Order: sequence, then structure tokens, then C-alpha cells
Amino acid sequence: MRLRRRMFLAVAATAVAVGAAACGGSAQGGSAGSAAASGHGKDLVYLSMSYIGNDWQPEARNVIEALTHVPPISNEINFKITVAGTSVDTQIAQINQAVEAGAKGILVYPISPTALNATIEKACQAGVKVVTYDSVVTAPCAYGVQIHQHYAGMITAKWLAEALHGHGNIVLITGVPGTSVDLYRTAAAKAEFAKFPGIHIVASEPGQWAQAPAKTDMASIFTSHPPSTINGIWAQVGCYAITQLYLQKHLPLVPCAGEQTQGHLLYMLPTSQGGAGLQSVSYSATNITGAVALRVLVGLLHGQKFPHKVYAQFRLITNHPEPGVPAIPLKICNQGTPQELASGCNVFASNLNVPSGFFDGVWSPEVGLGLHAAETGSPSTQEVKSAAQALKTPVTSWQPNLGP
Amino acid sequence: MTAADLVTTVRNVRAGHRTLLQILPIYVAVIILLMAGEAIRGGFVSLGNVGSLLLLATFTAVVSFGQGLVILVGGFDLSVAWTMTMAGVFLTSQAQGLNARGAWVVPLVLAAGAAIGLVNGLGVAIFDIAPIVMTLATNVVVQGLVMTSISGTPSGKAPPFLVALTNRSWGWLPWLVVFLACFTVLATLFLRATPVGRRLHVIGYNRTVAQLSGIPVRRTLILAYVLSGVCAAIAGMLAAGYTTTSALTTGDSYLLPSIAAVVIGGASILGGRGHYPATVGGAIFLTVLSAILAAVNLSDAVRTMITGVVILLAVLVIGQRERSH
Amino acid sequence: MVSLALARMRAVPRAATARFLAQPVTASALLLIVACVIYFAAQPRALSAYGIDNLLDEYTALALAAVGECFVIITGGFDMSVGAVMAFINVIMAVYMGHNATGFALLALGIGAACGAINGLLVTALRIPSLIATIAMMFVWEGAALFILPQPGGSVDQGFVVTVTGSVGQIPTAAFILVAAGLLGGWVLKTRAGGWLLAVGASETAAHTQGLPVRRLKILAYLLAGLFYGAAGMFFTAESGSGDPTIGQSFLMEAFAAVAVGGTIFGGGRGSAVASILGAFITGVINNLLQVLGVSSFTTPAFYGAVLFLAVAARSSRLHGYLRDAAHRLRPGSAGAGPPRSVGRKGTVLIPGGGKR
Repeated sequence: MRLRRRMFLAVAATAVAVGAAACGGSAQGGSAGSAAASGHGKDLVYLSMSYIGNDWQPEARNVIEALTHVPPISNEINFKITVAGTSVDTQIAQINQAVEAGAKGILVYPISPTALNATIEKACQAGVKVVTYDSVVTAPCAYGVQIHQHYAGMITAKWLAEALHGHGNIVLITGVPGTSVDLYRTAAAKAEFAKFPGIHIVASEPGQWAQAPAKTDMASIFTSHPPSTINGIWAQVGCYAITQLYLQKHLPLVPCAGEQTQGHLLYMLPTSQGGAGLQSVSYSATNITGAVALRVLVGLLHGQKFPHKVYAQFRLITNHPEPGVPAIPLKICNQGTPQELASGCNVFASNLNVPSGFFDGVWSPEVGLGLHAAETGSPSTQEVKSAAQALKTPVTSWQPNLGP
Repeated sequence: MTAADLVTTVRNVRAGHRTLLQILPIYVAVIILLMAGEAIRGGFVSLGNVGSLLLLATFTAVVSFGQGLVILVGGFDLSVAWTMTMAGVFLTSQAQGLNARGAWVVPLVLAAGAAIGLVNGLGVAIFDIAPIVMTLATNVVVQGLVMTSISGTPSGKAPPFLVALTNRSWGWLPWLVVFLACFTVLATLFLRATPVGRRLHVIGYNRTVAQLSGIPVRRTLILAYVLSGVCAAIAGMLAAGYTTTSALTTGDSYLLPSIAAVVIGGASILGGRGHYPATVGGAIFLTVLSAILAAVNLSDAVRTMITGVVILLAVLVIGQRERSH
Repeated sequence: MVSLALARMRAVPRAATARFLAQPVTASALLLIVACVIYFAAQPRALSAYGIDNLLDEYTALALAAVGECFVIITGGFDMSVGAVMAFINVIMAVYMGHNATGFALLALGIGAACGAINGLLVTALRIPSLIATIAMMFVWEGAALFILPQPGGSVDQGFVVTVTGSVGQIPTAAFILVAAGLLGGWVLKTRAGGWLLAVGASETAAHTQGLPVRRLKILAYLLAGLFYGAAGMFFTAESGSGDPTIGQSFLMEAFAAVAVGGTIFGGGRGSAVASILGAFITGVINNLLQVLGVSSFTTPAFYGAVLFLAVAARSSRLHGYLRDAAHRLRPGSAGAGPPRSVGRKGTVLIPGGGKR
């Protein structure tokens, strides 16, 4: 009797839990299998994300989501989002699910460049278009939109070396070990630094592309390399938190090169404008790779042809120009509208209360959205208009000048 | 507290000299590591550096107290990971960088940590669910709740008083290290000198004997988990204060170190034995180790392997082995 | 309504049925069937050959890992190195395999067993607690994997991929692998040595007193575990077609969850390899189901945790004690049920030094 009750309990409990899930499913829910996936209805498009615990992923998702509300894309696709966390198995399962549900296209932020290949190949064979953004996969049938990682690593290293006049000790704060993005950027940076014999890399720590680990790494590095011996920092992500550490310890700031976040760019402003006068170069326009990938996907569904590797526009911002490093100056955005961003502003005014870890590269000519879209995931009326305009311009792949 | 309790407390405090012998080994190991660091890079052992290292060790040390309590009664708390993250995320998003708001947010966060611990304790004590499974489930549930409530993006800032506590210092001595010292004294007194603390030891050593001697086992077990949740919440708020903003990966990086610190410090993983000052030593040991590895220019791969080997050696030399039968 | 059904059920001979339903396998099988029914109802396309094939490919590696972990948990220990060993084997195969598929498949099993043996020696000969020993080894194998393959890549022999992830006739190879694993794991536990493993888990002191070779048995448990991790790593390599040094972390917690849902008791003494396989698929199907139902991916972990809790709590004998006593008191005309009895696992025998590990 007791054991029968055990069975009953276990089964009932699961049924209840699952029933609750069914009722409590999000607004996007309902039976995915019933979506009209071909012909006259909207095309079903899935976004398969992972999250690595920083602001980047949800921001990129917001920009993508906002773009799905802009005509003509809003009339053409039925958009669904899944998040796999850090589990490869889960992402494989979610991609399979998307194909089973009848998706015509899948946007992917791949957790692994290689482990999803078999699943992606199966999807391609089923006629589904797969486009990755920022991180790439090696599956030949997939398309990928990314910034040129090698160039990013190379040009920022070049800036730093020149800012230090070719001499000095530098610290590297890298990304997540074992990922190709981290490796390409770091390898390119090291190769560039090797061209300057007076530059010495005295320490290197993984910053996990997040501010907090970057700060604790730096504090740890200080214990074996006193701040006075460090002349410059190359941090894939982390110039904000590291500068904060310097300021809290009342140390003189050193040049820092890295991927921009709002806090980082604010520090770059002169002290008269509320900044810290940090000498820096930072690269932007990485947040929109997902939205550009969506445009590529929609184009593929229309039968357009694209190269399998599309490089998104890449902008460097600096307050300390160096030769051979093409960059634009810092310019404050007072509202964050697409028009303002199109005119070349790149750091948001502090009264807009943008979080310090927010990635400011929310606009590009092919996407045409602004701050509101990146923060909320839905475009303001103004943003809809400018994005609709942007959708009329073609998507092109940006070729960097890789130098000699 | 009755007169008898007071006598017990005094007697316990006096028995401290035996305890010292059990705490000493880990600190000897720390000193050896510091000397190695000095040999690798001259100037490593300076007041300023020691202050920095102690500061960095504080976060682990605080979580390890709660984890140590749970290990003392024979369990594990895997939910400290997302409890810490929850604390940081909740703190920054509600406090929005204001002390006035922080005044009511901090107690709320502590209560949330306690609630998570309470759920764990109930599962383990009442339903007899294995601690590793119960806390694993809770960890994942907290993750889901936190992620849903913030839609995946942490925001806001820690209140300035926490930022000051974790970042300011008197010369070479960070305020947070003073906090750690006070915390260590209070925690040790709790464990060693109060009747509740003694009960935790007895339960861990032999639960049946504890039950038969009339100790309210279930209530004390639950208390251990509640305290673990509270400690994780404190550590999470401190970590958010240190970096001013919160992050989603905070807790995950402190889970394994919290367990390692307790075991390296000499606590028995079977329960019943353990000294918090030794756990703090374990946390310091791990922090110094990672700082030394940072000083040597080795690849991430080799550093990870060395960490594993050093942990093994530390446990072999200092830690408690499984009781032989 | 319920009491009527229960009254009818009372007529059936209790002991045999009860024993049957008490098996972790039966309970897990029932759970899995329910989960599958709901899943296929929500997503009919999952019931196709394509869908089933996907499901098997997605969770076989986890199932194999869970079987391995199960052996360690049965003896009362914990193995935190499961994911790291899998990643280590994955990168070795991806980097060195070339076209020598069979050789490396066997090598995978061998490396897994060797890793397991090392864990076993640390725990028995050096008497390091299993949790910390395996955490330390996890770092070692993670680092080794990163060392061999610093970034994802490598290449896996296509023939190997097709063989392992393909089908024999209409039946996916994964199904055969799972059946073999279940048979092997189940058989081991039914042998005399297997029974001894369970005894060691139930009470190490008692086992020792009875003259069982406790140390050798524990090493055997870890070695078997490693063997299955090798199989899991091998399957994952075929499924992903490449090497990735960081894939281990997600398998760790999922393996524990699979074992728990399958009904193996943590603390030792009772468990089933087959049930662990079923547990892995239960968690997998529920994950897929939540996505199909459109549950926000942020909330999915909360449901996953809730299911894990319910699956384990429902098996809690203390809970049944409470419920049974409550039912006794509610039954009309019953005499006082007496004081509530808590049914502990280890009974009331005084065992010095007995504590949860």
C-alpha cells in the first residue's frame, strides 16, 4: 500500500509539475508544432542562445528581438527564443527541437564551435538555414556573422604598443579559455606585441569576458607585479573594472585596450566631463552581429546568396589616436536615438543611466536601431522607422585592412 | 543562557590550546606558499600584498563558514553557488547604488538566503533527502527564479557603504580584512563555545548518539543549512560590493573553493570535526596559490592541473583522512 | 474515488507487488513512460524515427555517464570528475584518432578505467575523501584536456561517427549501446561482487566486519565508473564529431541529477544501473518537453530542480511514514495509529562512526 502510494505520488507529482509548466508557459508558448511553417504563413525562426553570464548575450538578443518587430521582417517571420545555458547537450537538443517544430531558419550563438556540427548538418539536410553570430561553428553548411576576431586582437595590441612608444610591461586579460574567439584574439595580440621588442607581457589571466573576474585577476596580479611596474593593459573585456580598481587604490591610470562597455567609455572622457581621462582604445559594433545575422537569415530565406563568413562592421574608438590604427573619437550621445548614433556618437550620457557593463555598440547602418531597442528588446516608433530604412540597404561583409 | 551554559562556554574556550595544534598545519602551509611566492618573485611578501591576498580570500572564507557547518553535520551545500549570485543580483538591482535603499535591501537578501537554507534543511532533515541532491535541486531552482526575475541581465549598483567596506583600507590593511577577523572570531566562538555549536559537532560525529542524548537533531540540522544560506548571501553581497555591479557567474566560481577550503583546513568530510580558523586558513591557502600561479607565466592548462595536484597534496598532508575501520 | 481504488488494490497480494514496485527501475520506468506520453502528445514530430533518433543521440552519453556515477554512489562516495574525464577522452580521440576508430574506441574505455582506478587508489590507499579527491582529479583532467587541445577542433573519423550515431537496420546504434550498458551494469550488481558493493555502501563497517575486501571493492567501483565514463566520452565524441576541452562541466551536475531521479540512494547501499539510464532520459525528456511547451528558457532550471526534488522526495521513506500515519488516522473506525514511526535507512542499530558522507 505504502509503495503503491509512492508510485502514485511520483507519477502524480510529475504530472502536476508538467501541467503547471504547460499552464505557466510564457507568452511565446503554446504548441510549437502547430505553427504554420511553410507556404503562406510566417516562417518559423528560432534563436538558440547560450549565456555566459555577462551583459552581452541578453543585449544581443534584445537587438535581434527588436529587429523582428520591424517591417518587413515582422510580417515574414514567427520568432521564438531558446536559451541553453552552458550545456552543449541542451543546445543540441534545442536545435533538434527547432527542426522538429518546423523551423525554416535557426540563429545560433554556439556554445562550442565543433560539438554542434553533427546537429547543424542534420538541420541543413532538412532544409533549414543555420546562421551563427559572433562565435562561429566549423560546420561547412552554416553561415556565420562575426567581427574579425583576428583583426580585433591585432589592432588593439598595435594601439597599445604604440601608445607605450614601443616600451613597457603589459598585462593580458583574456576571455574564456578553450574558446576559439578568445584564442584568435589573444594569438593575434601576442603576434602583434612580438613585433615590438621593447614590450614585455608580464602576466596573463583569463577574465572570462566579465568585469568581476577581470578585477580580481588584476588585484591578484598586483601581488606579484607591483602597479608601478605595469605600464599598460590589454583586456578583452575588463578595462572598466580594472580602471575602477586603479582609481580605488589611488594609482595613476595606465593605457588600457579592450572591448568597450559604457563604464569603460565613460572613464575615457576627460575629468572635466565626468570621466577619468583613461587613455584607451576600444572596439564596438559587436552587439549587432546577431541582428545582422538575422538579416542574413531572412535574405537566405528569400533566396539571396551570401558568403558563408560575413564580417560585421567594426569600429574603433579612441581618445588617443595612434598611427596605423583607424579609429573615431569619443562622442557623447544625449538620447541614444538611431539618428544620433548614425552621426557618430558612441558613449551614452550619464543621465541616461546605462549600466557600466552595458556594451555600447548597439547601432550599425544595416540595423538602424538604438539604445531603447538594446535595453528593452522592442523598438520605439522612431527606431522602427530608422530600422525599416536600414533594412532597405544591403548587407555587406566588411573587410579589414590587415596590414603587411 | 544559564549558569551551566556559561560554565560550559568558559571551559570550552579554555580548551583552546589543543585546538591550536589542529589549526596550525594549514597556516604553516600558507607560510610555505608565501615563501615560495617570495622566491619566485621578490617582494611578494609585503604588507600591501598580504592585505590584498587576505581581502581576496574573504569571500571564500565567508562562504566556507556556512559550507563548513553543513559539512560538520555530514552534508554538503551545493546551493551556495546560486544563493551567492542571487544575493549579488538582488542587492544591486534593488539598492540601485543608494545607501538608503541598501538599508532595507540587505536584510531582505539575508532573509532570502536564510529561506533557501531553510528549504534545504527541511528537505534534508524532514524528508531525509540526501544533502547533495537536495542542495543541487535548490541550486537549480534558485537559478531559474533569479534568471526569470531579471530576464537574464543583472543591473544596478551596490550601495556605497558596501563598496566602501570592500574597497577601502587603512594603509595596507583593507577594511574587509578587519571584517574577516571579526567574523572569524564570532564564528569560532559560535562553533566552539556555544551549546548550539557543540550540538552541531555531536550530530556530525554520531547522529544516533546525538538523537539518543535528547539533542533536537532536526532543528539543529535545519539551523546549519539556514546559516549556510545566510553566509552565502553575505558573501554574495560583499562580492557585489567589491565590483560595484553584480554578475551571473559569481557564485559558481566560489562553490568548489568553499568545499576545498573546508577540507584542506582539516575538517573531516564525514562530519563531526572541524575548526573555522583552519577553514579560513584553507581559503587563504587557495588564494595565495592562485596568486602565485598568476605570477608564473604558465598556460591555463598547466595552472589548472597544478591546482588539482596541490589540493591533493594539501589534503594528504594537512587534511583529515577517511577514518580507518 | 481514490479510497475505492485503494480498497480494491488492497485485495491484490501485497508483498510481491510491493517489492516489484519498490524497485528503482520500475518507478523510473513509470516516470519515463508518463514523461514520454506527455512529450509526444505535445510534440508529435518527436515520435518519428528522426525524433527518437535525436532523443537517443542527445542523452545516451549522459546515460552512460550516469551509470558510471551510479557505481560510485552505490558504494557511498561521490565522483566529481565524470565530466572532466569525458572531456579528456574526447580531446584525445579528436586529436590522435586519425582513422583508427576501433583502436581508439577501446583506448577510450581503457583511459576511462585508468582514470577511475586512480580515483579509487586515492580514496582507498591514500584515504582521501572521495569528494575532494575527485574534485582535485577533475582539475587535473580538465587541465590535461586543455593542454592537449587548447581550442575546440580536431577531427573524428567519419566512419566512426556514422557507425555510432547511425542505425543498424531500423534501430539506432545508440539503442544497442544503451541496452548493452544496462545489461552489463545490471548484471554486475547482481553478481556476488556486485552485492558486496551494495553492502559496502550500506555500511562500510559492517562490510569490514564481515570480512569483505572493502578496499578492493571500492577500487572496483571507481574502475567500473571510469569504464562507463570512457564509453560516455566515446559516444559524445561520435555525436559531436570533434573535440572540445570544456564540455565536461555541464555533464557533472546532470549526471548526479540522472542518478538521483533514477532512484539510487545517495549515501550508498541501494541503486540500479538501469534505473540511472532511465533517470537520464527522464531528465532529458522533461528538458525537451519544457522547451516544446514554450516555457521560458530562463525558468526551465526551476522546473528541472522541482522535478528532481519531487522525484527524490516521492521516494523518501520518511515521507511515506508520515503519509501512512496520516492516512491511518483518517481511515474511519481505525484505532489510534500510535506514535509516528520514522523509517530511517540504517535502522536503529548503533554503528560507531556511522554518518552520512
